[in-house]
Amino acid sequence: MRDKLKRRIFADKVFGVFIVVSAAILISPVFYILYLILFKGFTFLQAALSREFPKLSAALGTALLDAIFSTAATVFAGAAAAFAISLFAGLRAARKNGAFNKILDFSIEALGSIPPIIAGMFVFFVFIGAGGEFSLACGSIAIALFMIPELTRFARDVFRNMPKKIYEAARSLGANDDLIASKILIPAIAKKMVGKTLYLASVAAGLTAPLLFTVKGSSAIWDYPNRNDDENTLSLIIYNFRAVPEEEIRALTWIAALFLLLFILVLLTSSRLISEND
Amino acid sequence: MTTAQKILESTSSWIVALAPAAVFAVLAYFAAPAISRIGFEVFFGSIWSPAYGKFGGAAFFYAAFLTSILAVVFSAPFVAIISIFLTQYADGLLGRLIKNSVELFALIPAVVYGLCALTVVVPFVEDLQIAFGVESPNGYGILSASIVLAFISAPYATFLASKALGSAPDKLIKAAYSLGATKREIILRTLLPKAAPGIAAAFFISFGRCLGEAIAVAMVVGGGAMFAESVFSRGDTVASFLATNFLSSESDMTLSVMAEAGLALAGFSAIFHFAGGALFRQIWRGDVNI
Repeated sequence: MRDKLKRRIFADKVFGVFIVVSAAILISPVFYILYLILFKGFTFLQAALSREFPKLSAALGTALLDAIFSTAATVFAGAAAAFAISLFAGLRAARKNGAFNKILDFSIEALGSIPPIIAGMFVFFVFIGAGGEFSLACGSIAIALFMIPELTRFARDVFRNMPKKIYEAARSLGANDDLIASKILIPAIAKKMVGKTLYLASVAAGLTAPLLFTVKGSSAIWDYPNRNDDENTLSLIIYNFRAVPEEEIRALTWIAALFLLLFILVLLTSSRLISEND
Repeated sequence: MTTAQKILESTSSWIVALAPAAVFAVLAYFAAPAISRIGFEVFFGSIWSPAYGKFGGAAFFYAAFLTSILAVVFSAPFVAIISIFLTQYADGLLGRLIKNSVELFALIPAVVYGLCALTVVVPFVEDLQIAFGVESPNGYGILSASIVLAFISAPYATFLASKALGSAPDKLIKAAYSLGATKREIILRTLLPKAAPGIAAAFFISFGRCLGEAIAVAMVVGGGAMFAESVFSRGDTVASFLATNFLSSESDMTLSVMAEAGLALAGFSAIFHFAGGALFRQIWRGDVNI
């Protein structure tokens, strides 16, 4: 009996050690990936800044700066649109019942299931295929489409989980549902929504497939200062430049990956700071 | 609420309500010429040669399902072990470190995974190809794509599996402890069997996401419209094929066929998403969002 108990306790300890050690080993690739990006990114950045690679140096001050600006502009414009739409759609989904709300709930899930590349195709067919041009604005629409389902679901759930006491107190003071929504609910979740929006923006910053069909990008931007009209984002630089024959130019992908990672970390940190202060 | 806010609420709700239908409707509209002329050749035909009017894309669907199945299989140990760790053993510094690392794992963009795979996974698979005597080895192919997909899909599947494992009622765990069960026994005999539908749902949803992943796959899968004969073969999944060929379509018919393939891809993703969600609701609490 005692031997059996000892065996069980021993097996329990072995299992615990196995799980902890395996978890530590399995998670190690993330550190290797970070090391790769930081090491290669900084090495090539240093080489470009010291003009060791002249073509890369030229691309750095023009193509890369453009891409950083374009990434920020596309992501923030998309995030702002998604924020506004999701806040009010979430409010509607939480406040009212009925058939339309069931459709709304279903649509949130259905939109969330659509792969980003399909969102890009949709924007291409509607805006570019119909005579429009590839642009950052189209990229922002694709990014907004990606962010809306998650953000609307978040807003709806936060609104739904508001303490009932708030409603009762407001109603006892004579406020109607609309006044409660505009004066109490929306201001109460604004900070949470900003935090969540920044978090989703950090995910959206790395999207490539929808931007490929809407912004397009180019791998010919190293012709600077003979700038062509193609816009590039950081993710598009990584994708479009990965197969460029010249190794010197290909190095731009690692620098773009470094800046993309930094951009994502800034957004993530901002999101955490806002959420923690709420 | 002001009139402006009411209009915003109404407009936003309609945008969200109609957006998925609009996506499917637009794709269906552009796919209509292909459907009416070649029917469903893109699903069943085996030859892709637009110049000769052949639009068989079965190889792309086959590769998409093959890479996604392999990715789920490769990521399964990670998902199982990390989700057990996060829900049962994540105390102290190591616990916080691993929890944050999983979150970081999820935030690394697919295109960066693809870039790193070109440096690490492709040479590794090339060595494997040489070891197995594969003709003209170069490291690109189904296996490389599956490994990258496993990395991309693992964090989200882990998040869902952790939710399933972590939603066990406290009463159940306390009852098991009071009967003298050890932690291992509680995990293996109580939590895992009870959370099985949730864990299965995690893999289901993860599979759907793998089907739709385009960029990282396009970077390492090698390309080509042939059926993969082995995991070392090159090929293209539906999503990677769209990523690399959509903008260079030379005719309206090709574009239409791609819209048809995109429509099917969106349909498959939705099916797996909703099926996974339905499975998830069978575990203890049905309020877990996916």
